Amino acid sequence: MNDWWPAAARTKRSVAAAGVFVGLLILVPLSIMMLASALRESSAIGLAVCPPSWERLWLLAARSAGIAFGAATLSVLSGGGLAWMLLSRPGFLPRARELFLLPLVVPPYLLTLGWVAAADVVAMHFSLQPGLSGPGWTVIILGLAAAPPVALVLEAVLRRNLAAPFESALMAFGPAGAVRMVVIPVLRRPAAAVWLFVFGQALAEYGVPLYLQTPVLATELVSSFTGGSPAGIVLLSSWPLALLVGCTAAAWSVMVSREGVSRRAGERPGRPLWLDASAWPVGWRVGTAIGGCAAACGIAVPVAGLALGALRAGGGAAMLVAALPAMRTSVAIAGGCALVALVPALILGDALGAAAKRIPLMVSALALAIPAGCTGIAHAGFWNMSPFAGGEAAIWCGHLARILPAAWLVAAFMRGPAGFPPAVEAAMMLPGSAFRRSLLRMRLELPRVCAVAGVAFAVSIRELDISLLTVPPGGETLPLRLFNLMHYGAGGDVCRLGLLLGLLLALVTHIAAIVALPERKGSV
Amino acid sequence: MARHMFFIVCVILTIALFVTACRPDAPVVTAYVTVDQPFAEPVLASFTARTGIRVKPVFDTEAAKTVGLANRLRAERAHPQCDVFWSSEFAHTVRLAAEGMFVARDWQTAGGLPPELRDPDGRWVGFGLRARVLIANTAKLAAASMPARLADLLSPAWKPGEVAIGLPLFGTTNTHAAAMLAMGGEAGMLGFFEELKRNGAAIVDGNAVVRDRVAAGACLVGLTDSDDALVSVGRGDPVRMILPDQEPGGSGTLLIPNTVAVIVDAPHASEAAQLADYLASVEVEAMLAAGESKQISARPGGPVPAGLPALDSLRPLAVGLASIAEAIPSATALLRDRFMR
Amino acid sequence: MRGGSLAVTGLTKRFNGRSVLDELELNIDAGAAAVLFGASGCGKSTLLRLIAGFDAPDSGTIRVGDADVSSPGRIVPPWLRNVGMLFQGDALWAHLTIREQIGLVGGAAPRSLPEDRIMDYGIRLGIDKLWNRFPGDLSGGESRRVALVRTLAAIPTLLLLDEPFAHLDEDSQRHVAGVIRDWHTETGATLLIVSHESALLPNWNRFRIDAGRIEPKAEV
Repeated sequence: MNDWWPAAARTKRSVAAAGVFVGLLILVPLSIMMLASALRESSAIGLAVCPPSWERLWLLAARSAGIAFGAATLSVLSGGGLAWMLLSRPGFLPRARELFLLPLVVPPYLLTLGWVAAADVVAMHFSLQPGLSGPGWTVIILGLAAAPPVALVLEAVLRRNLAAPFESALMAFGPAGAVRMVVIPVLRRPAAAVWLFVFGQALAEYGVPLYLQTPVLATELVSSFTGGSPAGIVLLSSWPLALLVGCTAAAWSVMVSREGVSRRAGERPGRPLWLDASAWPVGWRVGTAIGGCAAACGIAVPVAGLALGALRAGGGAAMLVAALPAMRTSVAIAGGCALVALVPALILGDALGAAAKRIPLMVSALALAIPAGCTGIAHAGFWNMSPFAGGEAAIWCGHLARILPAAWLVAAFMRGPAGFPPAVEAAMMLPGSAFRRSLLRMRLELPRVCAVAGVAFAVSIRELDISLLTVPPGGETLPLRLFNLMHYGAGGDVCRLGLLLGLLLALVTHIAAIVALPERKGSV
Repeated sequence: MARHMFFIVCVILTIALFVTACRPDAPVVTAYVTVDQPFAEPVLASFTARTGIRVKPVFDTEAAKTVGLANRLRAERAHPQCDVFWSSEFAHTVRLAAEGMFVARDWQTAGGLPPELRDPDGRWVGFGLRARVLIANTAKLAAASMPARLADLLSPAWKPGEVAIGLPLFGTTNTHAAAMLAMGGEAGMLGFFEELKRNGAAIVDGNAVVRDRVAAGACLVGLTDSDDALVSVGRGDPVRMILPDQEPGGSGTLLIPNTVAVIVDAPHASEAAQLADYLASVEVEAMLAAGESKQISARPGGPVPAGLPALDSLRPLAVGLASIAEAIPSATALLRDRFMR
Repeated sequence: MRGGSLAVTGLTKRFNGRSVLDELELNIDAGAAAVLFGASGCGKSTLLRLIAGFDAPDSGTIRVGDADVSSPGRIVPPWLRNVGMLFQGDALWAHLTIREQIGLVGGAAPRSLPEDRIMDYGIRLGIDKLWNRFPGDLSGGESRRVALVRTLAAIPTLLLLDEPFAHLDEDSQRHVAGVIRDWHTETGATLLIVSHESALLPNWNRFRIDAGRIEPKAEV
């Protein structure tokens, strides 16, 4: 064996194998379906690429971009405010970190159910029109859902980069000057990067706009396929959405690669100066307080809505019992996919971290940006042509294709900038059994392994679009069941089912957080 | 130790999940079902309890509605995955039958079903009816002001936003539009919907939304399905359900049956036949009438949900199902430009 | 059985455009021991890491015994080089007791010390009472001594020791020096030590890294 890549601590062969595995899963179904359509229905390609109704296309694109813009802006403003509040209360964040990660784990349509349930309570009380719909609510729900994770990112950036520069600027220029000279420059690029990320995710979001009766490019994509258009033609005609999300992904990856990993500022003794309210301009304090409260509402309102909705009378335990097979299917697929994805994700994460170049990061970002609808359509069409039609291959492979980019990006970002700790390197020197060496290495990198597995599990278990398109007969998943039942309204049964899914996801997050905590002295 | 235990527990759980997912070889049948999932599942469970045949259902979603499953059947034509198609309406069933998707068979349990609800060649049967009804808010509307005919929705007395209908590109509203096209031609159908739009009617996404808006008083009247309206009545909402055009000389109310068919070359033909016959049976009609779906038995003298008249006292819309089914593509095409969002 | 020779030829390594090692040449005969020293940041640890396989040189070759372990386009993984290393930082495995990790290293190696010899070294370094403890329970000095015993449990072709005397008091340093000396005599493995405390070590050849090269070019 002579193909060792020291910086990645992986053999080149294993990196290539992982890359081929991922490429097969992600690119082959997409490419084959588009090629098959190109060969079989060449006359339709022109219509797919240049649709007759440009007006409708522009309307959908404008609406999609507008919603994404609003959601991204709301997420950064409210998340920024929340980040500031967290920065000024350092003891709060470690306890609340799991809560702030929940919106990443809990699917947006579940949060929508909570909002609708809350709105119904208000509507019933004040005899208002029930239900929520339209682009405005889509912006609010998507934006506030992204705010807590945005807050975590911005808080980390500020905490690592602010201390000394802020204090010296405060002394020299006063509060307003310190904000202008130090805080804004520190925040500018990371805020732009997360803004772009949220923008791209909102563009590709399907469940929330569908539920809120807001046709966008992503909903049009799926309804075209279910309406009978061939998979390849639908994929070809998705070029506007693909172009928008692709450009967005490329942009945030460039921004992240320029920013690099935040330099960890030395911990200074004593109380940081920014904990003093007097260190900040009034306008800044008011703005961040408003943003923080908005972000807090983004968590509190849907949770309260689900809880209140769950208290309503309904079918009772029968509905939950009927959902057990769906829950088992979801957990089995998510758990199985997380296990399968773990090794290639860790390998590719190491390779990406070692390469530390713009192009690999951009490729990874593009892979993550592929709309779930496109992945679902590609796998639905691809496996339907194979001897495995009607089986579970489509849903498993579709889920894997979706979770792998997220998993390997997390693996890359969690890899420290200084390479591997000595304990891991010592493990790499252990001669003999490769299996023993690999197990030891995974045990030593347990927080990273748990984070990657947790992300893979969470992305799979919340996945709706791909499940909807690839579900085999009798193989309904919990999100699919919930989403279908949501259309009968936010009744007691549906809210209880939603809470069940939310609790399941919270449990997974909590378990992953426990295991991923740093090793304590003397502990196992 | 705790962390070792965590891994051990994870491994045991994973193995348990996979083991429980592997079921012994029980007979199965795959059904594509467009009936609302909460209504269909008890019926399918009852079939499994009676026969031991496990049903693997695929339900339509609000994303795709019936057209999604119909197209899925077409896409799988060369290698059918589905055994039985149970639809909450008839239009797609009739068209799929015309395309040769269904088996012509002798329906063992379809006795009592009227001829207009049976395919002449035995490729499908209809049962369990829903009616297209008007729903009115009793708290905000006096009885004398309530509409009695479909045409009453066009009255200039209604203010913008007081009338609600579902988007006529999907579902039973689309079927209703096709029925209007079949009866009154393009002018009749387009005239109705365009007038509604001009008057500022609320065009919403589905019958349930129509019901909820009227129940909340956000709209005063709406056009929806009888099962949706009866759910609202049962909840105690301030609404009244009205069967339109029942007056002497009136055109009648559109009745929409469930339909069931067996797929050609179904992978589990014997099980498919059992399920199809069960769905077309008196027992299932009784379940559908008594359950939340509140559907009217298509058999004369059969069970009728509370709040609805017996079938023989109902004046149905005098248009054949086949004519309506044939008119759907044209109706959709005509309405698409006017109502596409 | 003697250890393998070490031959480093034309080794160059750059970080951010700055040459840390510049056409470095180093030869150590099989079974010999040598001490490497130099100013902070001169590239001592970088050299060890390149020999161990944790980094790739920009040019040059490294040969351990009869095998080319690093040459243009050819990098052999660390576990196949039959090279052992005592790391400068904390390399103990937090989830295993001291006994377990020493047993793991000794058990995995093609050649290892007998258990009684490991116990002797442990007694000499004052860590025999720590066998059933976890690394998290140890002080800095104890961790360093445990790490050394773990490293010495295997008998590789070439052993690299990076600052074996760091974080130790004078008394411990003497004991550590004695253990290293006796281990080398007992096993015959080739030994390369980076240390500023070379006075504690026997009269092994010493050489200094300066400006990325060995000064003077040394052959041992």
